[in-house]
Amino acid sequence: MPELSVEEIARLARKYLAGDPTVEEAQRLNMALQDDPQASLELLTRMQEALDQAQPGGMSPADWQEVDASVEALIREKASHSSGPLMRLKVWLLKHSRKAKAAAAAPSRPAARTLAILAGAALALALVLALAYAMVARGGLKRLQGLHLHLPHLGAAASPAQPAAAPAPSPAKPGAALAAPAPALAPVAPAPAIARAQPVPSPLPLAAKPGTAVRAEQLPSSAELPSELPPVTPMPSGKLDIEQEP
Amino acid sequence: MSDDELVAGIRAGDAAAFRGLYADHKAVVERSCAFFLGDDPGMKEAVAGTFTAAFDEIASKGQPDLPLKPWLSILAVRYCMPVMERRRIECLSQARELEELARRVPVLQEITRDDRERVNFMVRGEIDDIPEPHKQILAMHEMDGLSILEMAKRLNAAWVTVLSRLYNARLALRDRVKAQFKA
Repeated sequence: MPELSVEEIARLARKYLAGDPTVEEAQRLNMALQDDPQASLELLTRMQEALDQAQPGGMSPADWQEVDASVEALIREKASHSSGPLMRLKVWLLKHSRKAKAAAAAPSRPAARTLAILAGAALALALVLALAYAMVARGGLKRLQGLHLHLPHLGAAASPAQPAAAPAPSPAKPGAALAAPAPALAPVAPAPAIARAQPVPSPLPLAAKPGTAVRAEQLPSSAELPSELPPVTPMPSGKLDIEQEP
Repeated sequence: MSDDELVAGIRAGDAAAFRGLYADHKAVVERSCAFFLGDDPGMKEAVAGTFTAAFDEIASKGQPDLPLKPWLSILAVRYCMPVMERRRIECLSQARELEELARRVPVLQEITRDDRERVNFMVRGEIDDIPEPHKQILAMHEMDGLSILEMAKRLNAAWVTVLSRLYNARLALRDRVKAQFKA
């Protein structure tokens, strides 16, 4: 069938809607409807223009229920026909890309959620810092305790085998030591040479670990030792490692 | 979902895409069909047929040349056309029956030899005794000579609705004339 001109389509549509087309005109319009979208649009436009005052009533709710059921049955049939593994994969891919697009198009995270995440991160950081601080503090405490234990070696190392004959001031608790003001320590004089520690009878009754090396120069002589030693107060901070001194 | 996503989903056999197309466009299809069919019982088959054709065409040919909304409207008009033709042919046959009836009325045979004029005289003779709403529609069509489209415009009714009313009015006229003349 030769393609109809726009004018011819308009004429056929007008005659058809007027209700008096010839048999041949009705056939031509029917064929044009199948081939040319213009024919459908022409009919639709003319009816819209004629009924621009009011839209004619369509289907009732009961009609819609019937049509919905019929289309749903059709959809089930068509969807089940294309339910092979390849089709399922295509559907999955389609949905996946749809979700990705939706996620890309979605607005950014709400401020409250971002704030909550930041607050959580800050809390975690604070916990880590507190733990680290606690560990450092504990290490320092241990060092302080070690210092406290080491200082009596000054005497104990000189007489390792000597039993505790006289009561000695009990070592202060680390906490108490920290609370007490630390006396200024005299700078340690550089030792010219390291001598083997000799067992020296010490009035200090502190138990010393056998084999602890102490510089002889650092040891006071018996005469110099006071009858009563002042209580030893550990350093609150800093590292005093006697053995590392040059 | 966009048109592209709906088409891609239907081609992939995604039931959600089928349902999405139907839900998004059923009102458009109904509106297009209602201009022609109104409350005619053929409306249901036209709407369902439009979506059947749409699913088939998308599955076989892919993306339509037009956006889905006008494309579905065009499909809807195609699916209205068989119903319109059926009603038009019924009315045409009825008009022939009336002409045949008028030909058998002796008074009308004496007035004119033209079939359409005889029917016109028949309507004029009976119009006052024909009840509404048949009276109005017969007067508009047979006496005032209004076309179907003109009557649809004046009555704010769908094209097929006008044909149906005309059909029923003619039935009433025929029954009355038959009763009077024992034709």
